[in-house]
Amino acid sequence: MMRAHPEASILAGGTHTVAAMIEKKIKPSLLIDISRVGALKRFEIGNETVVVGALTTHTTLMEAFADRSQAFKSFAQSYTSPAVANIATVGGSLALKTSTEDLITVLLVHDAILRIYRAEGVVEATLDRYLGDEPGRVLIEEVKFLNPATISATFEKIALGISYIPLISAAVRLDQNEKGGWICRIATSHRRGEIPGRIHEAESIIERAGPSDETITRAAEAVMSTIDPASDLMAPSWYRKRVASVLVKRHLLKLWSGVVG
Amino acid sequence: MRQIRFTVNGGRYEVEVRDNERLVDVLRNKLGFKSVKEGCGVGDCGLCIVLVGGRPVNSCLALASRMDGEEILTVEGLGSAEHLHPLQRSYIEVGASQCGYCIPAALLVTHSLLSRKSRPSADEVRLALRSVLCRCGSYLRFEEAVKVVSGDE
Repeated sequence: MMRAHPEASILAGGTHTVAAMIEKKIKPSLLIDISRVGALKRFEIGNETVVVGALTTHTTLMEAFADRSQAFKSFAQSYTSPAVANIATVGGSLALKTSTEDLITVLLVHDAILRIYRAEGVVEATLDRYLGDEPGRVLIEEVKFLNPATISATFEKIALGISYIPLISAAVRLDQNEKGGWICRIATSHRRGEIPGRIHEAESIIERAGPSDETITRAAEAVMSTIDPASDLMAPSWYRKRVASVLVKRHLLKLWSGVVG
Repeated sequence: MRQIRFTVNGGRYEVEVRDNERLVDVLRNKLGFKSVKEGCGVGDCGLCIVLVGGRPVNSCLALASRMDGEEILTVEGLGSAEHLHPLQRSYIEVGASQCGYCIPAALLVTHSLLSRKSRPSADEVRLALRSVLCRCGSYLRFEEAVKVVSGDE
């Protein structure tokens, strides 16, 4: 249908598309309503991974994981509007590829892998790679990510008091594997412009040498020097860089003390 | 156009709606539930919130065509002028209603919360009320009203 109707807008939860139609930002001549496609509603929690269909709502994720994961707990507590969470979907958030979608930052540190329909066929891509792709028409079918209850991850957002739109947010994961090596994931809401992404440069500092006061400081500095956030009405780029660095340092120290302690 | 059947405040309705017609417009203009207010129209203010299957939903973001088979509650179904819901009485007792514009949404959000958790914490009440923008700043009174109903005060 997407190939046959390139002018159509896909309608999942509607939180973005309906609002954009009202504001006349988009004027689709055709809406493809996918809300009743059963294949997009998968929800399976395995021992190590979770697979959710694109139509899974944010509320469903929060209810499943907020009690078992610091990252999802913080995601739920800093959510803009619980009423919106009842209809906002995982697929819709990921399709937007924007800094306002906190879920993207959270899922980045859970090693999320997307199953995507493109014009050329079905592909699997890591969320990090998908975010780096050029914009194009895609339909996300499902997302697989590490079971939040099995990893140590945190999320924090600095936001305006009323809107809860992030000035900057960061998610961090720090775990040890069976061989004693370190697994580190660091993501921010503004990796490049307004697009979230992982900061591999900072992750590798921790993974190579392990966490210490010195490596954590270096990783935080790498965050500041690597990300290239947009400047806008809410915050300048330099401010976002500094705050991202502070958040990452704070959470690496917190997770390290948790692992060691 | 398509025909949808749904329940509003316990009454069954069959309505013809356009594919891009919003729930707020159907509830207010076609069915006459005037407690459903439209503020921003883009999901920010929450004044248009109704309960769909017991959960708060911004009716300005929800297309009516998707409501086939759903159960919807507006504040008209919460209580009547003669028999106010305990939460409505509580709002009056603590003086929560100022200009009144957001009160239907605030009532529904807190009603939904109380139906899932009889004694919510202050943080839970505040998180739930984040869905509703009250320009009069009555949030502490809303919280107080919930405490009265839940027996915490």
